[in-house]
Amino acid sequence: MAIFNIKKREIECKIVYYGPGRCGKTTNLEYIFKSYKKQVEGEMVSINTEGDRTLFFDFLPMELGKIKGCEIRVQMFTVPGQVQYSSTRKLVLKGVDGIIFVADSMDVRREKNMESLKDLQKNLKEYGLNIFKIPLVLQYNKRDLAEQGIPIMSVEQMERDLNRQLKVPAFPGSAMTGKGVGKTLQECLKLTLKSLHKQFNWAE
Amino acid sequence: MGISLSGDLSYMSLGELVQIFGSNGSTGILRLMNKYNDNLGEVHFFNGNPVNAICDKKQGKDALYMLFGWTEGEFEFNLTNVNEKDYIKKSRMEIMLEGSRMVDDGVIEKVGPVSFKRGDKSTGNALPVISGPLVDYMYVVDEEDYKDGQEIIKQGKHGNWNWVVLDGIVEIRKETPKGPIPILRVGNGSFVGSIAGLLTKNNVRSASVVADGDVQLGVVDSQRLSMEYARLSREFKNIILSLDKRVKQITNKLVEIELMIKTDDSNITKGKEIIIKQGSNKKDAFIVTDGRAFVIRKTDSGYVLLATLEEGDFFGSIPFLNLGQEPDSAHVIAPKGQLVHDVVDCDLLQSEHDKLSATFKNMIENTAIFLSATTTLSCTPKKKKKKGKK
Repeated sequence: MAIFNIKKREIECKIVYYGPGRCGKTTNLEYIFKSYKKQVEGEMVSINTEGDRTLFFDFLPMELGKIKGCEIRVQMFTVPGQVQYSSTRKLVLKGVDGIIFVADSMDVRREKNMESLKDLQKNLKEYGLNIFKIPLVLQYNKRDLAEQGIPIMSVEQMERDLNRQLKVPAFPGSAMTGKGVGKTLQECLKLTLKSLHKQFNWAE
Repeated sequence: MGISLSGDLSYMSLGELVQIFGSNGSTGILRLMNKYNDNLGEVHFFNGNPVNAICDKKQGKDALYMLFGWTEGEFEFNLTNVNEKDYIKKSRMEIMLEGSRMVDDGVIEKVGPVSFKRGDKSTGNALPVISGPLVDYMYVVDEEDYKDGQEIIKQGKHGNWNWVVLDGIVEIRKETPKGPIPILRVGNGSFVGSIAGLLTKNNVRSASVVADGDVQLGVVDSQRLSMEYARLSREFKNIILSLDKRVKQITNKLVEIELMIKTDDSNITKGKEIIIKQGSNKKDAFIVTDGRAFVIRKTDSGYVLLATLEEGDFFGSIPFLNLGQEPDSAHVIAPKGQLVHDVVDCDLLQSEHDKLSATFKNMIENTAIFLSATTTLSCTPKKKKKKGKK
């Protein structure tokens, strides 16, 4: 749920990177933090959670312009994957406006991707959100591994596994090299804003 | 200036509050109240950033992190001038994420009725400690001090006294032919003795109580509570007695498990029907008028019998009692077609409960927490036990 800050004339919304452990959520965010330095405000917060790091920073996407004279500020988060971090996950997911689900292209991670997506659906439900309605974008990460001869799934297979019912925008990516990272984020921002427009009846 | 925002911490956590005051750039003092903690907690905000916090004797960042463990209680926020140095320099988002991580990792203790803190002289055991809300001194007629290891109650003796722990921890033990078996430990605000002892003249102590470290106890004004008890309706008294019975049953169960006495609960469902299904969220309560019923929990390793109910016992969901058994965490079953039961008027019970003194309410709540914690212990598989079987 985006927050209006009348005083600062800002609309604050929340985008969360979700996905199985070591799928490249943090690499995605780190890449954005480095390459869009001018649009980032403040420092990146990094918390060591078991198996993963939880990241946060404030992002000011300039290309989106202003809405009703208000700047848009996006809070970017990654979610800790491990089961034990339930209160942290709750804190991060509560009031989320858009989600990027990062899936791991490696063959061996097939099950983990599907489990994590199911988990996301369950978690969203707990906060009264519907995975079919919330702005959601998929990223099939680690495409570059094919060059090193590591077996990866085809995009078609991943579409079948993860996106058959959701039918949301999906992008191949390689967070290590930055390929597809910006595209994924831009699409998610676009969907998020569209949904905010709808929520607040700004259309027209 | 008056209160600008107040509410319940279980609805809006400290992490969320930090975000809200941050987005609004608020300056003021946030006060947190938790009935399991003697002192208020405070967080001072300046332009949306937490600059200082107070929790018990701690200040600054450490105090703020500790307050993340207050997942229940109330808060109020006052807009007011805050002129202090920045005791806390970290960004609010970092504090928020780090604080909640520490709670999830168990580095920070959740402040609530059940915890795992150790006594002054830790005996190395990790039994949970049950705490109660703040003590109402109107009901304390005398204070008594006990040294570490001193026996307060001896199992099998007669006695009607009830105590409330003012400071320290006591251990509740069951005496068995194979030596004493620790059941649970209770700490500040928790009651020692049995609630049923308020009404029976010749109450026989069902367990021993020993000081774990130096302890100060308050003798509870039993006469006053007995009078209050006497004024209760028959239905309400029944609920209390039945609750007490369940506590004794589950304590015995725990002893059986500790002694590795083989009790076979696996066939318990045979020829029986389910009256209340585990996990159901039905809000009704019943009283057994004829026949017998059993409260069983389905666990990963099979069924565990928690209680046997007879005529006069209640089951189901009583609005002010969280038993940790049925309906959310146990089945109620009975031989097919044999159980006769009546519906309990929960509204009536609730209105009677509302009129009770805080101390009496606390005693009932404490008994229910005790039951719930002992139930959890009975259903947690012990590694030791597995080894003993073979």
